[in-house]
Amino acid sequence: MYKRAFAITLVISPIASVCQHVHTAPAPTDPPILLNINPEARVSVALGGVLPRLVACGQPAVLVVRVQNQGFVTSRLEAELVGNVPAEASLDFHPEPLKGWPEELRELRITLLKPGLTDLTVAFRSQNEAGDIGGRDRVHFLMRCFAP
Amino acid sequence: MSAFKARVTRRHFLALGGAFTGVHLCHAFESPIAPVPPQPYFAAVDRAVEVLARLGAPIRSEDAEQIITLARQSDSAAVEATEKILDQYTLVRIVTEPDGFAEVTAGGAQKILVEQGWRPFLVRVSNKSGTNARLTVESAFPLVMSSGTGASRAGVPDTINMGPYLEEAWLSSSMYEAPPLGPTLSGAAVEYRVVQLYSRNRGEHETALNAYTTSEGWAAKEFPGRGTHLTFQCLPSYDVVLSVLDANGAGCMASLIIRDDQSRVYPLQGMRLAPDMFFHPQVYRADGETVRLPDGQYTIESKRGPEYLTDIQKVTIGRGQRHIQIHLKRWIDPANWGWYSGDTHIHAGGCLHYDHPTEGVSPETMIRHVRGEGLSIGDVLSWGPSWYYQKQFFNGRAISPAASLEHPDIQTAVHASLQPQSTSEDSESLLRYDVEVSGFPSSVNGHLVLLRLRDQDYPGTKLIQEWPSWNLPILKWAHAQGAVTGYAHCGNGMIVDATTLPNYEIPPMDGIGTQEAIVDVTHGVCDFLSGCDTHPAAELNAWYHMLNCGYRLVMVGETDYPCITGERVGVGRSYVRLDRRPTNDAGYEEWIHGLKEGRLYWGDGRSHFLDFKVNGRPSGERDVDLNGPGIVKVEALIAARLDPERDPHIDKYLASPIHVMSPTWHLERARIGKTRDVPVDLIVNGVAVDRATILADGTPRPLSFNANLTRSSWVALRILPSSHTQPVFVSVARKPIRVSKRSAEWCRACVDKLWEVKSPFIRESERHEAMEGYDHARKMYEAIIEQCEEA
Repeated sequence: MYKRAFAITLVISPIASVCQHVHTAPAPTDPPILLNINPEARVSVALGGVLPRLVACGQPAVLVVRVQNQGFVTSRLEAELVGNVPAEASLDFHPEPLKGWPEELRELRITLLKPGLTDLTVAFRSQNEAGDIGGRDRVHFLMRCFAP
Repeated sequence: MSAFKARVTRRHFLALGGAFTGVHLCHAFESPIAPVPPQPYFAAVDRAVEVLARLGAPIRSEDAEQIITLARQSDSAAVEATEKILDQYTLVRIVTEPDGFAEVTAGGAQKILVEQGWRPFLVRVSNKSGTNARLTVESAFPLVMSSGTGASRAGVPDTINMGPYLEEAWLSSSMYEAPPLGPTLSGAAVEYRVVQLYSRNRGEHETALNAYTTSEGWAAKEFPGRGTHLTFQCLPSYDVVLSVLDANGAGCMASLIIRDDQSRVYPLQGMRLAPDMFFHPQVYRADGETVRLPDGQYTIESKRGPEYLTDIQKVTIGRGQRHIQIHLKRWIDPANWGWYSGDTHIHAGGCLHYDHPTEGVSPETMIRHVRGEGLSIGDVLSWGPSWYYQKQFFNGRAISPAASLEHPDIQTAVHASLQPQSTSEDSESLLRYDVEVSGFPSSVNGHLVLLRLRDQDYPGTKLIQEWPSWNLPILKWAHAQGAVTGYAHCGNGMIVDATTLPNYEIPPMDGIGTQEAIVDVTHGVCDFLSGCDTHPAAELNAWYHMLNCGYRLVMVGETDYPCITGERVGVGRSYVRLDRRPTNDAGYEEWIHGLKEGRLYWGDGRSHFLDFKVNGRPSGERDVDLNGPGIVKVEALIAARLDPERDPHIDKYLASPIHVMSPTWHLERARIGKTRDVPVDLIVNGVAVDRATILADGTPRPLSFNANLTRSSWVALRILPSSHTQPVFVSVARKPIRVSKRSAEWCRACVDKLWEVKSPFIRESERHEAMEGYDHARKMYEAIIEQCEEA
C-alpha cells in the first residue's frame, strides 16, 4: 500500500512542480458559511466548506454558519435573502442573540420550491449595527432543487 | 528550451488535446445568446453592474434602467436583450472547460485604454462545466506591482535582468474578486466577471489575453490557454494642473470628484494608490498639484467640507488646455465666530483602508483628508486591527505633516506623477495620533477614545491581549497622564423601541457604545460621549439621563472613518470655541481643553450655533447662578443651510432606517415638509420645552427663548438630527443638579443590566475589582435618587 502511494507520488511529482497547488479541498465537515464579526461589530461573511447544492424541493437545506465573534457582540444575528430574490425561495434563520463567545455555530435553512438552478444572496447583520459598507456582509451561491 | 518545455509530460499533452477538442466542440455549440435561466442570470448581472459602478465606471444610466426593466420581465427574451446591452461593455467572452482551459474571443467593448490609468471591463463567462473555480484573465506580460511580502517597498523587478521584460510589459490586468462578486465563479451557465486593465503606454498596442481557471487542488496556470489577440488604442494622458483656491484666494487642499462624460471616475477607484483612496470617489488635491487625464470632457465636483458650497463645473481637457481652475465658495465660516472644527475619531488603518503593502496609510496621507475637508483637528486613532503598525506614528504631539508621499518608491514604480505641493493653509490642519480601545479585551464594555495621551501602552503590556478586560482601569490610567477620555459611537448597544427623548426603556447593552460609561462617569474618569454616527435618540438618551444626575460629561461629534462610514472624514464634527486658530501642538492643547470644558457644539456641519448664551453665559464657563427659581433668557445666533429643494438622491439615501444607513445625522432629516425651514428645540433637563423654526438659507439668524427654571438645571439647543450645543448649567440656590428621579433610576437599572451582560467577559482575576467599581456606581445613583425632589 505504502509502496504504491510512494510510486504514485513519484509519478505525479513533476506535475506537482509545474502546477500551482492552490489549496486542499475542505473537509466535508467544514461549515459552508464563515461569518466574522470584527471589533467594530462589523459583519463579514465568506463561503467556506461544501454547500448543499442539490436539495429536494420543499425540504429545507441546512447550512451551518460558523460565527467568529471578535467584537464580543451579544445582539441578535439576522439573515435575509437580498437582491434578485425568487418568489420560490425562502430563508429561515433564528435571530437568537449572540452569546459574545469567540465562536458559535448557527443554522441557516433555505427552502426552494421550484426545480432548477437558483442564485441566492444572503445578507447578515447584527441587530442595530450599521451594515458593512464594503458589501462584505453577504454571500451568493447557487442551489438547485429537484422534485421529491 | 524554456523551463516550461523541459517539464512537459504526457499528461500535459493529453490534457492539452482534450482541451482543444472540448473547447472546439463547445465553441461549435455555443450560441452567442444561448438559452439561459433568467433568475440566476439576472442575479449575476446585478452584481457585475454594481461592481462597475463601485469601481467608478458605471454603465450608462439608460442601460442600467433598461436592465432593471428586463430583470422584472425575467424571460428568455429579456436575457437576449440584456446580452446585447452588456456586449458593449464586454472585453472578452470566455468558455471554460473542466481542465482549466478557457477559450477567449473578443467582446463588443471598444478596446480603448488610458495611458497610466485603469479601465474596467466586463468578461462574459460561459461556464458549461459549472465550475466554481477562480477565473483569471491576464495579458502575456503582467506587470509586477507589489512585493507580496507585506513590506513597505515597491515590488519593482530587477531592471538589469528584467529590462527586456519590462520594456514589453505595457499592460497589466487584475480580476475584480472582492464583494459582491467574490473570488470564484458561481457555477451558473452564464455570468459576468470584471477585469481591470492598466496601460503604461500610449498609442496602439497589441497583446494576447489568456484565461484560465484554477480549481481545488490544481491550477492549470502553466497550460497554454486559447487566448486571443486584441489591439488597444491607449489614449495619451497628461498631467493636468489644478489651481485650488480657498474662498479667501489662498491656495489650499480640496476634495475633488472627477468624472468623464460617461460618469467614469478619475483616477479609477478600483486601482488607486495612496494618497488616493479606492473606497470613495473623491481625491484630495492641493493648489498646484496634478491629476492624470486623457483629453476629453469632464465634470469636476469640488468641495471642502460642509461649510462650503458644492461646486460643479464642466471642463474640456485637450489642445493645450491642461489646467483646471477651482475657486471654493463658503456659505459659512464658523472661525469668524471663534469656532474651530475637529473630528475626534478617524482611522488610518483597518476597516476600509487597504492592508497592503502596509497596514493602513501614513500621516502624510491622512493630513490630506483633514485639510481637504476643512478640519482644524483630526484625531487619528490606532486600534486593534492595525495596532502594531499604526502605533509607530504616535508621538504624543499634534503634527501637521509636510506635503509628501508616503511611498514615493511605489509611485515611481508605476510611473505615477503626483508631486505633493504645500499651501499657505497647510498649518491650519493638525493630526493627533491617539488610541481607540477597540479590538482589545475590554472592548465589549464599549470602545474607549483616549485623546491627548502621553503614553499609548497600558503599563506592563506589550500585547493587546494583556490589557484589562474592563474599561475603568484603562480610563484611570489615561486620566492619570492627563488624557481626555470618552466613549465612541455611543448609540451602539443603546437602541430601544422608543425614540422619544428622554425615554426610560433599559437598553440591551449588547453593543460597543455608551455601555460602561454609565459606571465610569460616577468615578469621574469619563469626559465625553461621541455621537453623530449612530442613532440620535440612542446617543442622546443616556447623555440626557447622566446630565440629569449632575454628571457633566460632554458630547462630541465623530465620524469613525472609514468604519462606520467610508464617505469622508468630518461627517461628524465638533466645533470648539477658541481665542485663536489652533496651528501647532499648543493649539491642539487649547482645542482639546476647550472640548473637555464643554466650549463646543457638534453636528454634521450643516447647521451651526455661532452664539449660544443663557443669561449671557456661554457653555463651558461658570454656572449661571440664580438665588431662587426664575426665568432665564436664552439667546442664540444660528445658521443652517439646505438647498432650496430636496435633492432626490438624498431622499433615496435617507429613506432607509436611520440606524442602518449613514449619515444618521443629516440636516435634511430635519427639513419641515417641503419648506426650507428646520426646527430649533430648547432643551431643559432633557425635555424639549420650546421650539422655533429658522429658514435654512445659510444666513445667521438670531433667536431667543425664555425658560422658567424651578431648580438647578441644564439648558441646551438642538436641531435634531443635525447639531446640538453643550448645556449651560444653571445653579438655583447653589444646589446640585438633581432634576429627575426617573433618570437616576434609569441609570441605576442600567448598571445592573450592564453587569448582567458584560461581567461574563471580565477576567476572573479582575472581577472582584470590577464588582467594587460597579457597586460604587450603584451607590452613587442610589444616593442621587434619594436627593431628587421630583420624579
